[in-house]
Amino acid sequence: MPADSRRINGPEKSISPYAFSKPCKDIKITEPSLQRKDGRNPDNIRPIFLKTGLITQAQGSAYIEQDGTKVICSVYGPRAVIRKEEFSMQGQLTCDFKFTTFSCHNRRQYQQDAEEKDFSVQLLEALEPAVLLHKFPKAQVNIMVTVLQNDGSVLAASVTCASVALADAGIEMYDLVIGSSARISGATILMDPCATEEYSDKDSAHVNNGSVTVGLMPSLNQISAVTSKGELEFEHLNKAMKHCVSMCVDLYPVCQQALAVAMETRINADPKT
Amino acid sequence: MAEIHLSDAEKTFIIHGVQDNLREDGRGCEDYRHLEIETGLVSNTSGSAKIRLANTEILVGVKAELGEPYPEKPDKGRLEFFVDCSANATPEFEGRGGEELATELSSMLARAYQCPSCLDLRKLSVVEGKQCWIIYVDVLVLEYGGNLFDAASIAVKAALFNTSIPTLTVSHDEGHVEIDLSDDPYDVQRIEVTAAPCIVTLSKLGHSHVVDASSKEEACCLARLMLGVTEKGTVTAMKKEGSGSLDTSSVEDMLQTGRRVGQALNKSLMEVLMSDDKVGKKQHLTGFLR
Amino acid sequence: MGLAVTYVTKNIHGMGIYWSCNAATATATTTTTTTTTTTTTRYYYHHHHHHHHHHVYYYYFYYYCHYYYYFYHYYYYYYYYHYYYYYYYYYYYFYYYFYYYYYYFCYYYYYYYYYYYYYYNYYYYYYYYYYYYYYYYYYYYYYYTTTTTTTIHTTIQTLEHLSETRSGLMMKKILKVTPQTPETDKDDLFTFEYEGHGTFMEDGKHFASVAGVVERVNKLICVTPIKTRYNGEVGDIVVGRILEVGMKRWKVDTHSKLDSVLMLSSVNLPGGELRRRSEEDEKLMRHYLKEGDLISAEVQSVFSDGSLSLHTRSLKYGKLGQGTLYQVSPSLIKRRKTHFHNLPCGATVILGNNGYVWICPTEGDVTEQSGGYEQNFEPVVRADREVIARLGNCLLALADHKMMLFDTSILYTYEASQKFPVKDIMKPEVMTEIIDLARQRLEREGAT
Repeated sequence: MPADSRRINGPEKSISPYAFSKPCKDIKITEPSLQRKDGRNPDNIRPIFLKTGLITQAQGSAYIEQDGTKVICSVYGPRAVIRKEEFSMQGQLTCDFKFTTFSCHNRRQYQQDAEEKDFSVQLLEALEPAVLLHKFPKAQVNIMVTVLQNDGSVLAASVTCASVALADAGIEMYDLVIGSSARISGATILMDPCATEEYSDKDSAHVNNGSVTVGLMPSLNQISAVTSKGELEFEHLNKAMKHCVSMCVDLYPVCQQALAVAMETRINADPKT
Repeated sequence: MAEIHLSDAEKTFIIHGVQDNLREDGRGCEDYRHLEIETGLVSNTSGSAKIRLANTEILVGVKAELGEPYPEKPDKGRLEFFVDCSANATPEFEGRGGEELATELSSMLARAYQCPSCLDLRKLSVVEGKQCWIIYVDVLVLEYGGNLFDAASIAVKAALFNTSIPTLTVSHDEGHVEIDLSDDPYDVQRIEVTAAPCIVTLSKLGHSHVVDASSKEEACCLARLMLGVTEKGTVTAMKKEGSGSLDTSSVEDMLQTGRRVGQALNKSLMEVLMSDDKVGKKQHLTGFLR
Repeated sequence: MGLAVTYVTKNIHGMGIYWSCNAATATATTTTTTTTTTTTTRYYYHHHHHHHHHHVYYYYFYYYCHYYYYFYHYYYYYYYYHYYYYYYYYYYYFYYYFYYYYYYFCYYYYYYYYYYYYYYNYYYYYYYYYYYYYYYYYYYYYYYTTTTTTTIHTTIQTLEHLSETRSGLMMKKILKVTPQTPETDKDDLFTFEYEGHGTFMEDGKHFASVAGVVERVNKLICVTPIKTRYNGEVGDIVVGRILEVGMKRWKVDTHSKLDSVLMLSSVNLPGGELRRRSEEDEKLMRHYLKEGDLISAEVQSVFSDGSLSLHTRSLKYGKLGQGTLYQVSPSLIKRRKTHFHNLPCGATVILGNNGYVWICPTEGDVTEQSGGYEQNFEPVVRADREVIARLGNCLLALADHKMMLFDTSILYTYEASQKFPVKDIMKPEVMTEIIDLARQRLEREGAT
């Protein structure tokens, strides 16, 4: 990680106090019918709140709240590519993903660290198949995603949020990209895990302990992004992916509705139309 | 990835060939190109490996140093990956050009090795909470000719296999901890890499997918699926890459192929490394002279 | 009074020759009986077909001076050679030319006589000649060094300069000329006045600026490096890739120092019309050739900065359809009358002079002469595909072993590889085996 030379940093070595706390017991998720901490079933997803048009300066913006996870996204563009060498007959998408420093359990850095860079690339790859790039040659579209609060499934929420923001910006797309994630533990599959339920390598259970994130374009039934962590058996991975796909399909009308509502308010507000 | 432009007719030719299970150089869809591995090349490292997969050449050096463990994991050692795409590989990597690719590769490697069953990091702990071995794995891309991720992961596994960490004797002395490094060069600790994963990249071309794509095939492919597969057949990390999208059924097919190929790759790699190890230091190193 | 110089080099055919010359040892193997402490000789054998008289010349010359000892050697030999190449000792035909700083008439005439004499004779005389020469040579040097401390520049020249045009055979010459070696000297009778490519002049002396082969045409001397970017010449066939579409021209990549240019006026219009190119044509440029497309073209002219101007005015040139492109070094492509080969195995090979080789399935006669306007996107038959894959692998194997590429060599390698599955050809052991087989066959049959 390059040192941040533009800001005055805090003390160099600081440890989160949670490191000294007793490690919490593994979530015993052995029975499928077991209730989760927040009272959900393994197949239930958290209620979603989605709104567009918060950031007036940007071409398009969206805000998503999946219970604890709060992500905001803004889209700037299409605008001209600054450097001449990067002209291409296809438009370019750039993605910038950032956790705010206070968003996670442990404080994060000001600079984009490796994990955030990884998320940026994954987000970009999830959104690229959905956008009609050849409609804006020699131009670029910048997507900025900021996570205000991280309570699990952050990549999935960002994908959904970013595609809604792109639609809000009026950029031509084949379809919306909906993100969903699942946590696999033994034979159980928990949909839309919250931060405590999410996979981390501290957990002692070795095999069949992981998480999957899927980005799907529901009308086309095409997967535009899939990532997984943790050691998983092939069959469980497959099953989890199928669950994620069905979750995306369920979420689709929610996003469509949010966009429709935004369109309506804009049309009603504008006296000319 | 480095850009090669192909004409439409060339792309059609390649894609039709793949669907016919006969690629440009006569391989089937699941065949790897000629692979050469050599370990123990660099003398100043704890372990090293060089791999040559047709036009791709990667050198991995492993250095073991003592340091503090992560606060959340006081009883485990650390494994840090760093990738450098040198400007030697292709002129596009000059300056900061190769940085994006390097970050992708290092994050994929880190993710693949993240799960606890891959490497037993507990063995790398010296004094719990205070000192542990930090294994720095540095990957240097010397030449880029397609299929970087696979080659890098194979090289990393070979280098970790080759790593020898000197044994330490820890003595507790009135609350004071002393660490002694053994003088004997043969008194070393090896890392158990049988459960370590290898990354298998599956590139989607037309309706089928191929393993070990050459640079031309990579230029025609829109979507790739990278899997970290262990010898047991479990998937430690999965990532879809590329600006195209994948059908749900093709993802399933690709996973099947990936698992099959990955298991076979792991097995043959371990066989080669074990037999190479038996020869020991007497072997004649070809090194960089072809 | 000399340096021990060791060379390890691979000649153009990939054979490793280890030379070492040590000023103190005289290691000539054939007839040297001199006891000089200043020279070492190495003789290289090239045994070749008896029918061809002109082929083996071994040229050897010294550059000797008071303080330096350089060792140059040339040899001409067939591009394919006997498998005894590992042996250091050869007997050979040779004759030399020596240029001395101080010119000795008697010397010169003596050699001049031998020049003619030798020209028509074969090796029976060389021993004699050599011996005689040697004696005098050393005598000369001996004499010379006692009288002067200036450097002596010598050059050995081949009188019989066998070029491909004359004998129809490609001769490969290796000259161990490294940059900064003084190669010629002013001489009354044989003066090199003009310096060509790869040389520069300093203090009135010509020096080589690259490591490579010396070619001399009358008074022009030039050095061509073994491995170089393609230097185009008018009339060459090239295979290029379109890089960008510009104002009335396309920029083409031909693996040369600068991008080549294909003017709009140098391509055939669809339907073979002959008219002035209008604005409409400019707008339709992209419909014919866009970025990434491959074309086969001929070099029309060379600009002053070295970039090439291409044309596709014949129907056999134009946009290329389905097939594969392979990139090899331009120096491996033999200059022939035709570079378009329809091989009997069912594939067409275009050997571009710039090192780009295109292999595609042989189309029927109907579509062949369309200039590339009609593209066929039908899937190619599996059998054809196998042929193409095998040819491609053979090509890469030949290039790897630094063999010359022409239709016969590719065909022989193809036939030698038939007993292996296609994908195994890329393995090093298999490659060496089939290349050896092909090489032997080429030598046996004396193919051109």
